[in-house]
Amino acid sequence: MGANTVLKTRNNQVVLQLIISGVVIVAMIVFGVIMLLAQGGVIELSAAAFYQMLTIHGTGMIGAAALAGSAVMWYFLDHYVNLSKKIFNTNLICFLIGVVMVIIGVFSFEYASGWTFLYPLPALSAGAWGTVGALLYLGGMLLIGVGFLLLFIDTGRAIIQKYGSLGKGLGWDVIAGKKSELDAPPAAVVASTMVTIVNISALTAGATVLVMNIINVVNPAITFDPLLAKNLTYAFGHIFANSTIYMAVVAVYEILSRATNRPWKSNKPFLIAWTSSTILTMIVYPHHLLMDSVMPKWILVMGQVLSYANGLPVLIITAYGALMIVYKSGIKWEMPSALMFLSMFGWTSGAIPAIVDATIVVNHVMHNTKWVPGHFHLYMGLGVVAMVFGFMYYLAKNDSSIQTNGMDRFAFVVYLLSMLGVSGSFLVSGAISTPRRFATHIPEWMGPAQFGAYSGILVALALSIFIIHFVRYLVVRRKALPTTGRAQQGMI
Amino acid sequence: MKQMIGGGILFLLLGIPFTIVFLESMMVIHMLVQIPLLILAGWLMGAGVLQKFPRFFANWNGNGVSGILLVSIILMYWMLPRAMDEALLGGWIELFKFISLPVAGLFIRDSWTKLKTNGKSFVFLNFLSMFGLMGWLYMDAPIQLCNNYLELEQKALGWGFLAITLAMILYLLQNVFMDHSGREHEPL
Amino acid sequence: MIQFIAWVVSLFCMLAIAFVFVFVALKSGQRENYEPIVKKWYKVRKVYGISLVVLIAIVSVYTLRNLPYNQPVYGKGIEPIVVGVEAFQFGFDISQREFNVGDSVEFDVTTADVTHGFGIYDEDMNLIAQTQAMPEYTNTVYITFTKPGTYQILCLEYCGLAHHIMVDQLVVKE
Repeated sequence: MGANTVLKTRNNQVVLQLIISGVVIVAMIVFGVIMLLAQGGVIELSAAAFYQMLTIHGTGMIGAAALAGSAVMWYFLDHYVNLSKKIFNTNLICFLIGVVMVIIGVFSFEYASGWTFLYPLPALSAGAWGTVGALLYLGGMLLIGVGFLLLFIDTGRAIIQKYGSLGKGLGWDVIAGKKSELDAPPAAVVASTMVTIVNISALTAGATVLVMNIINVVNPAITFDPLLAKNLTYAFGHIFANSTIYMAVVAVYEILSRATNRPWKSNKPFLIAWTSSTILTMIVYPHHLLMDSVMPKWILVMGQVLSYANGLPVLIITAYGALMIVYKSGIKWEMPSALMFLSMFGWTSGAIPAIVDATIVVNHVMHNTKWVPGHFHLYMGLGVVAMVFGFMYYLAKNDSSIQTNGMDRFAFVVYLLSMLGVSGSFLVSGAISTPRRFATHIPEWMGPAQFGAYSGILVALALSIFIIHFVRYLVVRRKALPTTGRAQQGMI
Repeated sequence: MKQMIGGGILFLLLGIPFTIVFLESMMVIHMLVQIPLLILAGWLMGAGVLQKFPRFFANWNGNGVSGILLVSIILMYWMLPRAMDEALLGGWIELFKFISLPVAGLFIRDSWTKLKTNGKSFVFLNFLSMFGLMGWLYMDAPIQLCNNYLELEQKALGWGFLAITLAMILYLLQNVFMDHSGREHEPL
Repeated sequence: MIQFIAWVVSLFCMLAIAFVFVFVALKSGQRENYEPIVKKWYKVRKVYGISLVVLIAIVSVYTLRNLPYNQPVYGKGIEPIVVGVEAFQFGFDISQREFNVGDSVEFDVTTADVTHGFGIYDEDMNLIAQTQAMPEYTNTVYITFTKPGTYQILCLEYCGLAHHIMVDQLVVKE
């Protein structure tokens, strides 16, 4: 009993971060639907409102994915290494304050640079927003970044303390043959090490470019090299957004191997795949700059080839492993395992449009169309989101006796189909050259936008049902805990 | 005690008008030699000060956080191009430089031993990105940031900052990938 | 054309992946020992992995032969018409807007303020070429007009509240 109570108290913040993320994701879908309805000509929306929503939608979704992903990663990594709860706490506090600053900046001070805040747009808004809005937004982002930087410093410290070095956390001694595969670090540690490395790099680059933008906003006379700014911005944005899936995938390993009662061990190919992902994730970002002929050509050619290669670890190792572990396993499908399995489909199929768009000749006529959002709505929407909600079902199942019912299964089917609808509508729009980030569309482009909007409503509905299940668990959990535990719990 | 005397001598040497003029004649030496030496002087002299007033430092800088915050504020101020300019005019700002930087050195000495790994890493990474940014700023700014130094000197300083950033990255890499198992102390 | 190929290739790959996932899900009800499965499918993975790598190599070589950055196929002795483009919030300064069918044009694109996009759409509103308008830099995009008509220029990088109405036109005559 004692041990059980301790474990539950340890999960408080994990649970809190998950419910915040879940609610934020649904709220952001509402903005997404409104934008698609405006593009589809169904409702009228001012350009200012549209681009503010665009900014919030992107920032909020990435933030929610990172917050939820880090909760998943923290939950499992904490089983293996000694993490600091205080730092975990600090991150959440920084995140919440940062989010408030971002929201005030966007909605009260009409800041709308998109979540990519591409230099020098924050300072040069053509009169749409002022210094205060820009500073609130950039400052909020900086604060969120500081929180996550602290969190990943702590995961890095804990991994080094336990395993000796980040290289050993990735299992390099096993790859080198110095240690047997039986002693390899578990998947959760390997993935966390990868995320630690890429995100500390991303956040350091991000801090540089954010402070640079802040200096430029305060004193526009001080300017910076826009190409370097763009490189740093996309290095930060790409890595940070991409890392969310690598944080959340830890849940796939743990949950699928438990559900099938089969081991998902770290063997050499697995470790090599993760080391490749570590390196590739950090260096593929030039595929965001394939249209800039001023970039050195070899970097752009590498951008294409490395982006192709970046698909390999997941296609050959991770997704393949998920398929193998499930194949003829006699698994009894439940919400957690089903969502995890689905997430691997979302990840792999969502990677395809990205790989296609990373082809320079294709990029030339498809980048900055809705093809790209098509990719990441599939990849994040059916990948990361499925992992996060799957993990929520897993926690509920593990810590309480509440049962899933027909509603949950119904929501699963609705979620799958409607998310495919959203992503598909974006991909079709991209194929017919519809530009992304346009407040209005010409009539030819409106059809898919409307279809996407209606699908989005269904996604929101399905995710709300998922959340209701989680809230049921929170209620049960609250009653089940002893009084002392509840007192420590604070909000939940 | 030896350290304290050494620090005192260094401080006095730095305070000789001739040294001041010489070290401030070039931007890169001003920023990357004089300022670090002043910090070093404070760090050395700190040995004695910390011994003399252990209670004060235990009370006010128990976990090292308030000290390192003060250090960051002081160093951030001296990274501003404006600050260097004003120091050149002599007077109060110059005096402030000769007081604030040794104080920063003193608190670095006190805080660094008290900070835990996470705190040290955080400070290190923040200075890493800020030095990178300073390198970029000084190399790339199309305008003359200081009244007293030319753009060319600005570029040299930028390269200096960039070199420091690269050195920090290399240090970080060898630190996190070097094997720490079996050792008592924590990394970084 | 490229869009169509990209769409078909993507759809094919995604359907193939979906097929595999559905197949495995359908087979998941049966129960077999894991060891033989691992043994067998590791062998398959080797073949599958190597084929993927080979496929990537072939596709890379094939698609990297003609890059849009190089002055393209019409190099043989034909000098392109050089057109300067400066984007601004919210419009384009274009040094020449009228061309003839068969003209090879080099657009040198830059911007006066923030980053913009320079996307050329044909009469059917298909995107046929684009580049980015970067401050302080000049990006080059080449195009040969093969059909007469009015071509639309759209900004393809978000640049502020009037981004979506930042349009211009080029006219290509017989």
